Amino acid sequence: MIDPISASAAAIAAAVRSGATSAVAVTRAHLDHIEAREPALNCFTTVLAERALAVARTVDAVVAAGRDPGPLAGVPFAVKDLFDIAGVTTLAGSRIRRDAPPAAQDATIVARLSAAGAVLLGAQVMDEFAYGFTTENAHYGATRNPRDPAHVAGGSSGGSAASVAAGMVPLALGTDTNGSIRVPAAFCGVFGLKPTYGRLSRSGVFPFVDSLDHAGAFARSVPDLALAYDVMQGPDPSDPVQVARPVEPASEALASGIDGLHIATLGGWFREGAEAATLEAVDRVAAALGARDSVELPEAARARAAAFCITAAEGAALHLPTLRSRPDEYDPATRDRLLAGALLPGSVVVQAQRLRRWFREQAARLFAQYDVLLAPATPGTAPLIGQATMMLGDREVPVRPNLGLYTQPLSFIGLPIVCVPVARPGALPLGVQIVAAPWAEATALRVAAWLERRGVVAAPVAG
Amino acid sequence: MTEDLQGFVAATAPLVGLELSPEQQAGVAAALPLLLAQAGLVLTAAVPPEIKGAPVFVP
Repeated sequence: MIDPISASAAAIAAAVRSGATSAVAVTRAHLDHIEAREPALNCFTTVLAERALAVARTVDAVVAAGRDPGPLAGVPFAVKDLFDIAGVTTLAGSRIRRDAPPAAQDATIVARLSAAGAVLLGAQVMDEFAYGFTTENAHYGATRNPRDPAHVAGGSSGGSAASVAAGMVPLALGTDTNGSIRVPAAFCGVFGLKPTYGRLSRSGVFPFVDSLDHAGAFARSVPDLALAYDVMQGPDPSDPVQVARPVEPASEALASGIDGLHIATLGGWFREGAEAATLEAVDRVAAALGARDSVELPEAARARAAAFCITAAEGAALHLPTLRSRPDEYDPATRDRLLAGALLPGSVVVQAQRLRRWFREQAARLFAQYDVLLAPATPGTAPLIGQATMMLGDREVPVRPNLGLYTQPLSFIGLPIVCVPVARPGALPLGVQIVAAPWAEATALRVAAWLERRGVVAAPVAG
Repeated sequence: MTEDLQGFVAATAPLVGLELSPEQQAGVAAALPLLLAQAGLVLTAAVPPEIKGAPVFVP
């Protein structure tokens, strides 16, 4: 008999498929757990209990009929509240969208998880319109970190990461434009996957920055992350950015180990300003992997700056109609940055896109020598809720724009990354980015799985 | 500096159809220094001339 709250998605699916437990029992257990923990953590904007139980009953009926219920049979999951859910208004963390019509259908990758037997439990708190790294939302409150509720969960997919850490769901979907999967994964101590730009469909996902937006996932184990990723892959012509590549399964590669892989640590920008504990975490992962080389990705600061500017300009363009008509309904912290982006000269964006191409070539040179690069996910552990500034080396800087220093240059060029939680008993989690060449998600997941099997990284349910 | 930026915002925002309150103008002015510092890094990057911008329009 499994404990459904601490069990992996793979274990839940196996138990449901074998009849050892039912999807309804697993769903009820998770709904009860959400009810118990939600008041203290604030992870959900909507809990879909009736829909979830109806879907779970369908899964159980399929099992009873002797048919295949799918690889995620009865596995509960939840999604950042910018993924469309049929019949539910997609809020995107905003007040403005409260009067938007309900979505007509599920987002593509939500539908793919459901088709694999997974059971959607609800939509989750995020930074307003995904423009933030802390999930301190002026309209829906702050999501609290299950590892220590005095601290932020990270953002912008904070509700998703926190719910996985708290055992509310074993799987959750998020998006990552500048670090919005990797930062909350690091702070909440769970695994996060940001695939290659263009790998997973974003159809039915409320956009933030079209040229930088990625969809991805959170889990408490690497096999679960790979299982969900494999199910979500596949062409979707309704997302013009998605590349029509065949499904390239990652799950079967996880047992391959790291023999033959060349791994290095990113130096320079990716070590500047980080806390000692952060660097120690990266070094511990590198030592476990036998990665002795340190390499530099040149002009990472300018790459981060270019991502910053593209974000501001594209975000502004997307929101200009409502910035004109309903400016008072935005969180001022979101509105002021979007408005500033509206005034950014166009030459900056053109140059930023040129820099993006050049920077991609610099990364390609490193990947000609190395299969995997290691970098910290954040400068330090999760700040306190409401904390305005933090130390970056010997400089006091604002928290919100600086949590993505090490994530932004890498998502800028769309690299696939697994953020792994370094085991630190008794201390707040820290994350390390396992960075692979474009389309080599399986390699990054393979390295993450190897680290997990050796106990270097781990994501237990937070008590 | 901040007053100059707020004056810039007050003068330019209406040109792109944005009617901002003084409070909103001040908020934008406060957000601009960080954004423009990043823009400065971008504009001074030595990108070789053969590197073209994206996206490229294809008729």
